[in-house]
Amino acid sequence: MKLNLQAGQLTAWVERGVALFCLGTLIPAAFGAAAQIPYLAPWWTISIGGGIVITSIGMMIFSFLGRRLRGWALVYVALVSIGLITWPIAWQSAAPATSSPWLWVCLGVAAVCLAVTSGTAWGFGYAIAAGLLFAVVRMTPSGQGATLLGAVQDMIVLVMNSSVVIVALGVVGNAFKSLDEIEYASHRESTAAAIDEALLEERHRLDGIVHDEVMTTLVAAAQNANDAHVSAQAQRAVDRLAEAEAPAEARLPVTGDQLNWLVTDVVGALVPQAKITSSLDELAVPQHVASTLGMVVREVALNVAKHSQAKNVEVTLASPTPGEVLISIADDGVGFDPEQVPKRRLGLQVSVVYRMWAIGGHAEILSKPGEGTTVNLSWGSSGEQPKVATEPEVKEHRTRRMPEIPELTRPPLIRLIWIVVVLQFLLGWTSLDRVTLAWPVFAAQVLAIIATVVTLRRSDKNPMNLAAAWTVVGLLIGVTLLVQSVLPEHDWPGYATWHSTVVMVLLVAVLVRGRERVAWVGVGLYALVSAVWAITQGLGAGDVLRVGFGPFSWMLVAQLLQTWLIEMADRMTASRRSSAAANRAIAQSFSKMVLRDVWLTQLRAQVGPLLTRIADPNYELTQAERDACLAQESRLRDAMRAGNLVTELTSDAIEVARGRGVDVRLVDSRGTRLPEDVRAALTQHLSRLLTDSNTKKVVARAAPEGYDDVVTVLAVREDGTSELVGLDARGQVNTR
Amino acid sequence: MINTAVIDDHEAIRIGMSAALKTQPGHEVTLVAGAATVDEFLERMPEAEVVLLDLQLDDGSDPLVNAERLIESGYKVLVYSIADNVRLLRRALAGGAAGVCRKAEPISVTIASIEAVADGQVVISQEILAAIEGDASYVAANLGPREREVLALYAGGFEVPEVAERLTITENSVKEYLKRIRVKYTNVNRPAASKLDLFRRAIEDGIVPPVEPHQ
Repeated sequence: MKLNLQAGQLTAWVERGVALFCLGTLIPAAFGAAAQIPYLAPWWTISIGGGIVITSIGMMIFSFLGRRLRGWALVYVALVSIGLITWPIAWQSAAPATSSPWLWVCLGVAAVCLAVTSGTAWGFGYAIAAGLLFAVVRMTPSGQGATLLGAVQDMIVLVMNSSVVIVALGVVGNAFKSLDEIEYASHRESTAAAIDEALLEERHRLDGIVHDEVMTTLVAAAQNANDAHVSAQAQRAVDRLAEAEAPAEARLPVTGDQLNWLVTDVVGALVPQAKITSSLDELAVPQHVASTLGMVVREVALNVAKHSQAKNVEVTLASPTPGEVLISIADDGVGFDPEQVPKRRLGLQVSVVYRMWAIGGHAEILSKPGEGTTVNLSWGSSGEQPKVATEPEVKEHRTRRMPEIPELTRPPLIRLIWIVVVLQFLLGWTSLDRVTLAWPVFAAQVLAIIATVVTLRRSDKNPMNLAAAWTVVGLLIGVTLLVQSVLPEHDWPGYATWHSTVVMVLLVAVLVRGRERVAWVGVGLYALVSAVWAITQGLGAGDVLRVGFGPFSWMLVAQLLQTWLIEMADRMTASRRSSAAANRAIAQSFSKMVLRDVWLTQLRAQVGPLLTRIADPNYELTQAERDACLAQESRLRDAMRAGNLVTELTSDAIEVARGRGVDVRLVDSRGTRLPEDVRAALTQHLSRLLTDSNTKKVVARAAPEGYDDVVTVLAVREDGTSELVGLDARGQVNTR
Repeated sequence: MINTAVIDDHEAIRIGMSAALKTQPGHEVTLVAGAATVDEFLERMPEAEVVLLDLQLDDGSDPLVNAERLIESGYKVLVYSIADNVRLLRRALAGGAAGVCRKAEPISVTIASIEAVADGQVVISQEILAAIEGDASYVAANLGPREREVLALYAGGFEVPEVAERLTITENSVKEYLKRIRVKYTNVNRPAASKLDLFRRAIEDGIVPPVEPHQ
């Protein structure tokens, strides 16, 4: 058995509902057929009647096995249509029929089947065609020899009833389909996120090992230099570092959002005062390009922080043409003359211009003494498009719009209610010959119009006004009493009871608009009034049920549908939320992987030369180099344990202070990113305290979230006095 | 004599430790054994009082389990760390480790820590208390306002006398508070299986420069 994978879980439930509908229709059909079978040709009863029974049962079984219904439904439609066309031939009695052909209950169902399996338009089309055909059959003797008026009335009812069901199913079905799509997408996204998370965890483990090896080497070398074990350890650290830097598995492209994140992170860590604006949207760059851009931006930001003395720094990310990235970093600092590049700027030339060239990009450095510096980095995706297979997926995340579940407040549904009500008026007018007096019918229709207006007024606001809901109930009871007062005695009045459908439709609307109790009370009152009337008129129990029970059963269906829709809305919200969360997680992990490249490059630059020297068994470390080992270890430790608190610049200042014998400790009890203002203020206070020659000890601590002081800096001086600076979330001094 | 052993997956550290101890006169610490993993160590069960335990061993074992196993076998555990992340330190503390000292510290400091642990003292250091303070959900659920205040000042860099002066209480009460926080932390059993814990772990692990998660 091939399980159907296309129809989602929920769409399948709609089909099961339709199958159940077909099966349920067999009950009234059987009642009608029981009286007519003696007059019908046996071949017809066996082929058409038997066929309808078999397909109804078959649909039920297949739908619960999770298979699509299309084939079965089309057979059902064909049987019903052929049955209707051949009805006059199959009718074998000379006398005209005493009731309407039993097949008519199946016509509406067939229209619904076609709508669900082949599309709403087909369903409507079929309903109209079947209605016309049925009207013709009705006028033949086999169809009770109805008058033209009666046939038209039947046609209207048939077309209208199936239309209402088709529209309702269309609403539910569309909602289900989109929910299925969303659930599928969000499932896929969260799977991707989970895989990413696992990869990331592995990465962190590896990074931890790299740290462990490198720092162990530095400590061992400082304490016990020139030992064979230490050089072996150093060799291991060098190997691990190289291993970690080896190109990773095929990576997904980095999106514009992620590139923003990367640049913000790199720049924010070095130049807290920078203002970053971005207009990158639809963009995907290969990961190695993103890594290099990150490194280059870091280099530029480092130069700005170290040399520019800039107050304002503006970073702009743009995409002038599709697939192109332009990052501009402009400062209002001291600037320099590019023609006479001092030695310290050589780094900028090599690490910025060369790196950009290596990825096929371009760097432009504009500066004049006293006029600030602007660095423009551009990269275009000429021929280096990210893999096609992955790009649409990324795009899909961004452009997919979550569909809304249509509500009753929407214009098409309001229009539908009006159409149904007006059609009932039409039925009422065509039955004017059946009533004893005409004016109460028109009065009742005026009341019905008022009730409809009240029901649909301010339909954008749910639940509807309680007084309005009760008014509708009152008006409908008024309509019922007026119509009943002119109905003929001891006789089934046919379509003169047009009001029951109006009552049903408006009460269902009241229910859907959030006044369930009022609607149910209304239905109860209506049933009571109708039952009293039917009994006093001496009508049979069947007729009593026919009048009173109709609206009741429709209310039940509406109530169930409503509960279903509300539950679905909840699921949709939940799906949306989880899919947004998955997107966020993916974005973060991508960026982290890229940042890791940046970090590894930095680590290699920082400790690489030292490690190589330690690894050489023939090289003897000097005392200065052993001190450098400890200094680098401390620096790495700070960055690892309190990366939140230090920038590259403060790390330099801390290294110098430690070299002077100052005890500097950084404590991060927060773990999450500090606000930029706080970082900027902290950098300023730290550099002041660290450069003070009287300082003996400095402890900077990020408090856990929720404390008034986001950061505290404690400085102890040589004379034993101390200074405590507490910074609030805006970076202002809070405590002293 | 204080018999000491080192469990560290780096041979250079084990040998370096033994060499460093020889250069330092006037102490009673003797290094009697070394092992790369806790399994290897417990197989031999050397006669040692204090065990220096590295947090990140090559077999990927959990510091909490490692500390518990060693204590069960009658050893006193002193964490001997490089810059392992705070989560691992917290695991070891929850497992009952008595103290922590950094590999990069001068050997004299390490010796003093070993002596304190051998003496049965609960070692309270800024490193340990800061790690506890950073465990925000523990602090919120288990510490009173006064304990939090003491913890914040101590983690912020103040020594015990200064904390006492700031809060106008005696030095002994400050020490009592810190000890109580420390013991409470070990006693509160905290399984790390919940989703929130995993998330926190990811954040903690993610703090490699310059990576910090956006919030």
